[in-house]
Amino acid sequence: MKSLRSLYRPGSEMRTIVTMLKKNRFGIGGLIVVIAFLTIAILAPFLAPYDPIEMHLDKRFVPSSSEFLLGTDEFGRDTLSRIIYGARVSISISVTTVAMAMFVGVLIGSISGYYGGKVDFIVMRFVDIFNAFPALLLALGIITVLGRGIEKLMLVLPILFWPEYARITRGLALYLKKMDYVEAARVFGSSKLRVVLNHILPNVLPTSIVIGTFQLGSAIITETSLSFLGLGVNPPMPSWGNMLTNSREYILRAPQLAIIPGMVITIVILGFNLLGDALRDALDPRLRI
Amino acid sequence: MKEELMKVHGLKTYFYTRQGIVKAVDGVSFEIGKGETFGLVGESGCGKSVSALSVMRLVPDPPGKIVSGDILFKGKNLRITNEDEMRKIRGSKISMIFQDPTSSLNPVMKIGDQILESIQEHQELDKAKAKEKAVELMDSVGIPNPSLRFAEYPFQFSGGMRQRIMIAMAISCNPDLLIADEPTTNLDVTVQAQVLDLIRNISRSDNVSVLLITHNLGLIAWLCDRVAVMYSGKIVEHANVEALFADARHPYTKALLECIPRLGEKDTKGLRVIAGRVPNLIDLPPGCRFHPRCPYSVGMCAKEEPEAIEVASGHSVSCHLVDKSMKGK
Amino acid sequence: MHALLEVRDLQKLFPVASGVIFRKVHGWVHAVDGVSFSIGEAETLGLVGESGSGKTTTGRLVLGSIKPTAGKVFFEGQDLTTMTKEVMKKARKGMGMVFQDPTSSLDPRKTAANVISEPIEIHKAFDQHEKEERIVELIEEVGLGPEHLGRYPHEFSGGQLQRIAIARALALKPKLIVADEPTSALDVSVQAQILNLIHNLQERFRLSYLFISHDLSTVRYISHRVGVMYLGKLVELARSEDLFSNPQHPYTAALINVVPVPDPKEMKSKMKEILRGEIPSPISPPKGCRFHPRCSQMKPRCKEIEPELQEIGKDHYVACHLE
Repeated sequence: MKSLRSLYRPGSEMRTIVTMLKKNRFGIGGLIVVIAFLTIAILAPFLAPYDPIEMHLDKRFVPSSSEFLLGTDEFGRDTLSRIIYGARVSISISVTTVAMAMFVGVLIGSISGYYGGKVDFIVMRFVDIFNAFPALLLALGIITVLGRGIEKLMLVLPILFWPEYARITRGLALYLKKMDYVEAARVFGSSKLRVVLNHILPNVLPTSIVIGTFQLGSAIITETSLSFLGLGVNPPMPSWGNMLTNSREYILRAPQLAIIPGMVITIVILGFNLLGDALRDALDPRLRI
Repeated sequence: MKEELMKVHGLKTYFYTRQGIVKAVDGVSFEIGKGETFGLVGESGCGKSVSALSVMRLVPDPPGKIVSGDILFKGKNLRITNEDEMRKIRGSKISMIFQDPTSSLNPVMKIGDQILESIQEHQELDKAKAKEKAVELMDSVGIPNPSLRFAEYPFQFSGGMRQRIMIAMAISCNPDLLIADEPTTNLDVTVQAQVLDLIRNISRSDNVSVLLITHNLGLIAWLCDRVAVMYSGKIVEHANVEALFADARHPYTKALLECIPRLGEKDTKGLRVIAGRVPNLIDLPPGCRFHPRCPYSVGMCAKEEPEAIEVASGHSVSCHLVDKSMKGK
Repeated sequence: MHALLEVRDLQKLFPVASGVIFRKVHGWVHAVDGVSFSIGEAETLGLVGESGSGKTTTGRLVLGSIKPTAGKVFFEGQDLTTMTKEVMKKARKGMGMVFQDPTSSLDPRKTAANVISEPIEIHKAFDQHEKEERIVELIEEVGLGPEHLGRYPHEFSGGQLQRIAIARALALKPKLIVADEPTSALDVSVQAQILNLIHNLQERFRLSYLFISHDLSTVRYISHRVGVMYLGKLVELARSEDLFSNPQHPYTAALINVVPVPDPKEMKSKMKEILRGEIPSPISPPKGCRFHPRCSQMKPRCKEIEPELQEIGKDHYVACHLE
């Protein structure tokens, strides 16, 4: 008789998830965009035709040409290469931010929600404190102290994003706590920690992943905003945000310098959001046909 | 039979979903007389609730649609009546109460105001008179201190009281027909008895017809004059109450009666069980819908859908085996 | 010789409180207020009552899900109420539980195999190979097959889910199963299947059940003895046949009276006298006998003194002042 392992290991669940994802056309679109984004970011040095910070001062403000596919900026730097390298910045910041925020936020939220009582009360007040600060101001404050640069951003942004995870997973944990299967596990002798690991976290993870995809988009926007304000990535290193800032002065003369990064940002964020939607549907066992 | 109030003929309500067409009600016919209590009984998914919603034209469209059939009520065919006319009928000529009174009541609105709302929707009364009537109604359904409790909120009432309030709202405009869809399923058994007793008294004193929808055969035995048993969107047996319990003919009805644990004798043989499961309404078996689970099925049962055959006055059964006059077992 | 389960003067009061840091207690919910009974081997005790009766809380007290305010629970001779966590965990192996709503008693993200094996994994009861054998054994015991093991809860019907829940309860070969309304959420025809299963398992494994339900007909069918609860108290306790043929407590009689039975003649004669009034709040139960405000045979004594549970016939106990 075939081993039962195949019947109840996560592997079979993976296959079902992939099948579900395949059925959602918007999700596939989103996935394609995200994969394209990741590929471009990772393979940047091989894809970019020029060095992104190399200036060609004799060819400034060139609109799209055979030499420079997307044209050049105010310093004659190739826009296409800057976009490609900018993707790197965006991805490194957004992924690290979300990974850290998710790890901290989900764990804290689940434990707080399930254990309840005083633990929950104190943790939630802590979250409230973080939430009380307008995100951008908090970031501004920290950066002013620590200085600009991509590594500093990677420290600051998770601080802004973890409360959302904690709050949402706590709410979920509160709801899940009442489920009979949670009580059943306790009746059969499970410890509280085991319940959190075995029943709360798996049921919280799908939602967290979905939030994660949306947050990846948010993180990119936050980095963009900070760079736009001049507080993010240091020039001449390109980020989509500082490309937007720099384009402001020349918006009448060379609008493509603003439009191109703007469009790229929109498409990538949209891609993440569509993927997030599709993932949420795919991960819900009840929607499986 | 009493004078006829409503006649449903060949009602078909289908739901169009991505997975296929759900034939929730597939050719259902029955009549309700004036002042009569008619029971529609069956297990989950049989189509009894959808039948009631169809009569009220409350089936969500999309995905549902009343595909065909006639719903004749006081000279009108409700299937083709326009929405404005239907709104005048709903709540005043035909009203409905549901299983869960808690979700039918607005939690942030005072009870009295909610009753007033249903009164003023259909009747031209000034506020003072309407309030008087509302308090009277609350009293008639057995709510103690009605003038005081008029200003209270739903959470201040128990489940049984809330259902009484729903009944008060439902009868506020003296309807001809009250549809009660599993009105007591969520209530304690003593409260259930009180609420159904109330409905019964209202029916008798005001000559209101009642369409009672339930899965509980005991309630049918108590309250109903006539009853129809539904299975998978069809009526399988239709009779007056004494006849159904004394002389059930359809195999499903018989099986249902035999699998209920009885209060009277202790059965040592084990409950009779109906093998198998209720069919998927998208993917129905051919022929008689019950045949895969029927202990008596023969070849024809899998091929042809049975017609309703009258076996006695007012007693009809949809089963191929009936015209071979099976008595008893 | 110990009874398998013995419950003595069990009491559970829940505080009604407000505030998180500075809690203020306004009152107490008398969920269970002095309940005693015992269950023997291969015996089913039915516990019946309406809302506020305390039957569900009693079930949870027996399982140790919640700790009693007062009273004792003895399981296989051991006092559960004074146990440490580790000892309690071992004792838990002897008990199983089945809940009312099969759709929420199974984790939607776990397969049937995971669900059934959870108790085994918690107690590390078998090694991998034995565990797999046991899971197959269990799923077949409840009338399903190995092909069902890899499926998720949403793929099953209510009746099948309940079977899986029962298989889970049986995983560690318990002696007692607490079943809280196990058939109430199921269709009538499916109820019959599950009741038969419960009955057969009892015969096969000499299982005992604490069968909690509001449905008298079901309780009558499945139980050897029945206890009737009202507002936290046990008002009558007797053998099933005796309780239903000769109820002594007015509440029991009233309950039996309003149970719908599929017999038109009987219904019409029964329903002439329906119990009036509503169940009072368990926060401030009536003084004296808790049923006295609704009792048609009330005497002055009933308002003052709470009746004790007394034996009035062979294995038939009633808490009532009337003789």
